Amino acid sequence: MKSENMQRQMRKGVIEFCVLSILRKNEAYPSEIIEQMQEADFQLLEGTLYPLLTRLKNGGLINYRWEESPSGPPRKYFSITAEGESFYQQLLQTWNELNLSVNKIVANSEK
Amino acid sequence: MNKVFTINLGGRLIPIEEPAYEYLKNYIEQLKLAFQSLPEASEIIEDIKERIAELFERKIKPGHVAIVLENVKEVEAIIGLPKDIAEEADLDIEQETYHEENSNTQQDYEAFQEKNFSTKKLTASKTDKVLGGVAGGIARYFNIDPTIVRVLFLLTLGFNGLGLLVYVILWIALPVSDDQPTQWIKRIYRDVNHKVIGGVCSGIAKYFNINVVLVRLIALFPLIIALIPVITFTNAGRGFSTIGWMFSLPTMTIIYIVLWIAIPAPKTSVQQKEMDDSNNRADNYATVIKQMHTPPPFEGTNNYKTKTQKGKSYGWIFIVIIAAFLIFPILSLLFSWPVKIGVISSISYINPSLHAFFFILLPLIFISLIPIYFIIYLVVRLIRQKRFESNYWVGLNVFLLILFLFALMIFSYSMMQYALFT
Repeated sequence: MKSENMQRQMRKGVIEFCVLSILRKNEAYPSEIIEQMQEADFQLLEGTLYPLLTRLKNGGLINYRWEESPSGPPRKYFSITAEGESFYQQLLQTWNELNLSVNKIVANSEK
Repeated sequence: MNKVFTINLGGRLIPIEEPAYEYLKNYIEQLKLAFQSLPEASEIIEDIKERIAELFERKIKPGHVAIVLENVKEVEAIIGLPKDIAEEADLDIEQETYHEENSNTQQDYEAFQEKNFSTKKLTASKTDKVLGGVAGGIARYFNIDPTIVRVLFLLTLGFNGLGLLVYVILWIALPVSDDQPTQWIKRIYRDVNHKVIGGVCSGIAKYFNINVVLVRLIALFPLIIALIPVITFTNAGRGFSTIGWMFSLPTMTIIYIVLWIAIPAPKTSVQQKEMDDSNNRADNYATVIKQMHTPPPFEGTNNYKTKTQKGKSYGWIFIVIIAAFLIFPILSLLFSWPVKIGVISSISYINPSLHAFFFILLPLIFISLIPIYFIIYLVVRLIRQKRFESNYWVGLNVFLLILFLFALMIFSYSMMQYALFT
């Protein structure tokens, strides 16, 4: 069993949560989302983001509009919908609970 | 030494070496295969291509001429292999469709070369089109810029709309080619560094590798000829016959303006180089236009304004001349009406009702309907706040604008005739 796979498994559950979290603050185009995740040292294959955004959009959690870019082709600016916001709140709650539980367990084992 | 192509990747022009291009092509094919079962797969692929192009653009720095194989591999690691992406994004895709080996690349590449160089067929282009893709198809067949073919079609409209007839026939007759992955052409650009007004003439000169003075003379020829009687104060109306005036002078001016809008200025150093290297045709700077994206978007008015401001050195002289040209003939018509009456009566005598239809009613219809279209267009654009994605709208707008000006010209001329005649 490779630890790499497991690490990826751990990360992948929270990618959508991160994306929603980024979008609820400000609308952003995909490259911006990637940059923000990289700034936070979140490791992610960039190719993952695009099918994921499409899935979130089809699920009605996010939306996008076109905007001209000062350089290069026009960009898709994604923003969160009301549905996405309530979805995010649910995820946030789960994350906080999970965070707490995992930390407790880890802290116990480190003693 | 490797060949360098310039590819249009997600709306950006990227210079890329041949092995790197092959690798990239294969990588994108793999992504396509992997995502094909997803909803909106093609859109996802387009977005990824745009991202790849963005990453490439950062890698092209002074000293780096083109993207090399290593760059593509770096980007592949950043974007991820299809199976890893599928894993990470939790996609439900069929793993069997995904080919790990690159073995078919060479075959693909040869097939693609063959398609472009040996089995040439005249077809209408599905991807490079404004109306029916006829001009795009002809341009691909002859390896020239579609803009040139389009302008030639426009020019022929002056000959009783002959070009339009030819266009419609070709539109009906030519098969639409579905599968044209690539196209090798040198693009025409405006040479804004050597411009007088908009750099159109010097851009054309560079494209055809001829002397710029020659191009300018051709562009100015109707003006020069028509100015002679004005300058010499001989009978101003005699210098231009009605038809000569209507077609030669405004046509050149209109064509210049159309070209000014239609031909892009080089935006990147690559495009600049492509324009300057007028001797290097398909050998070195082949433009591989993938069906990845529509060509770079139409320049907005902002850019347009800054450009005219920069080039005001001699431009105003030409603007004064053109203005003079538009004013003098009208004045000459007003003051030389006794001479004109003979001509006018002979035209209307042939068939008065037909004459009235073509010279008054039809232009009037265009004059009243086209502004309505533009108002609707602008309102829709304003509401949607979204760029119309295809070239189609730009082409249609330019066409309607020209039609409007043309109709206005004919209508005002007819009105003048009738006012004088009655």
